[in-house]
Amino acid sequence: MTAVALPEPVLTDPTTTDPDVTLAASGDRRAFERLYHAHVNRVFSLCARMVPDRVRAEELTQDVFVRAWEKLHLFRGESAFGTWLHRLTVNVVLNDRKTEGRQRSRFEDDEEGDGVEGLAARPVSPGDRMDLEKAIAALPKGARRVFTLHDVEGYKHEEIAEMLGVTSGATKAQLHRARMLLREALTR
Amino acid sequence: MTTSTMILDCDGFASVLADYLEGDATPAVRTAVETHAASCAACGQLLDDLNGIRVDAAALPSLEPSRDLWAGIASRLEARVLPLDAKRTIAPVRRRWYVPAAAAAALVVVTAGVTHYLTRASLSGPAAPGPVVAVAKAPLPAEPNARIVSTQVEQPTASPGSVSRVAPAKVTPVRFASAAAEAGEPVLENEISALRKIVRVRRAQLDPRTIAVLEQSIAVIDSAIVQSRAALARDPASAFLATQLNRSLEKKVDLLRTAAQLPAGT
Repeated sequence: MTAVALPEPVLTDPTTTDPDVTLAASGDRRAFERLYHAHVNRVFSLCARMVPDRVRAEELTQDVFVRAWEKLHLFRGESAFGTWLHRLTVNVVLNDRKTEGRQRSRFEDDEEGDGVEGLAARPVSPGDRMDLEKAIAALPKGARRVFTLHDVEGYKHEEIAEMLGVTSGATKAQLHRARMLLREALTR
Repeated sequence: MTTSTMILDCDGFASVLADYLEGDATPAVRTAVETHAASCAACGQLLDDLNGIRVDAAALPSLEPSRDLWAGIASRLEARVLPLDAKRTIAPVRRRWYVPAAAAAALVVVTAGVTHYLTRASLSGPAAPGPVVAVAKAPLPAEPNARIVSTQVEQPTASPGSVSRVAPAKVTPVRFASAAAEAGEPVLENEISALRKIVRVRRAQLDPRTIAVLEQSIAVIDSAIVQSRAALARDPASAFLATQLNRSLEKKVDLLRTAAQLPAGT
């Protein structure tokens, strides 16, 4: 897995930069709090869908904003602040998986071994048809990551491949696998 | 002029479906996929379902955290104002002893209140689902000048998805010789880090109101720590300031230790 490269510093155009971003970059904590409130749900959504453990997703969300505060001086308006923050979120989540990979490798390997039968066999309350959020959470790690980044967040295969350090052919295969698993889970 | 038409059966349809959905299929293949889907109920349904999943996924609403995360972020930002390895200047400065003293006073009030709140909650709250692990009491230090500056923590073991089964942590104080006092800060930081991990694992077991009070109190203590460190950076030789910093760190350890031992549901 490869960490996502943060945007390179470029000249700032003050006419297009959110004033709160400029203020926060100069150390204004209140401006940064306003940015937090504006973006927290989107950041948390990505964390929660990439890491189905909600408590861990909340901790990662906090990590993202602490890291954003530390890295904000590198943001020069090359893209929208939200786009930059979103990329940073992906980076934090993927790096977290990397650091915890050793501890969880056995579990993850088992999880990756789940096929359509594995997902379809996940317990669901009687009479409670699995919704899309639950079905995404039950996907194997690789399929869940690619599906979330592509179909939910709208990243292109080439971008996802760069983030994950794999080929775009591999991400396409994972995406199709994810959709087929979801279809089986949602229609059974 | 004649054109050859591609005809797909169900296996052929399945083999090119991924390319079709990604827009990678040639026009001839696209036509063949759509023709087969129109004539085969099962494959047509499959195509509709997969397209529906794509549309539904793109329209998923934003999720909200179960709690306000800003307090925890703010305390972490505050704690990073002065890095631990920052160069300490010995330039003569006006000794602002009242800053850490005021912080220490606030600390005493807050931690007393929190201890009261947590103790009352643990006594009146619902019983833990599993057996409560007794807290082992360590013998008091034999040497008069020995200090308790660290804690051996028996971490509850749990997989990420099994937080609710985690029992209260067993926390056993151990003695450190007074010679370790100078190195107390990093020792306490390590201990705080270990206890934080336990509290994080047990978070799902505790009442959200307890968590909120706990986080608010930790933020106050962190603020006191930052102020003490800043004052100490201006006056590194001050034993008073060093003591204040140590006390603040110990308060944080005590608070986290209490939280780690709370029964589930508190």
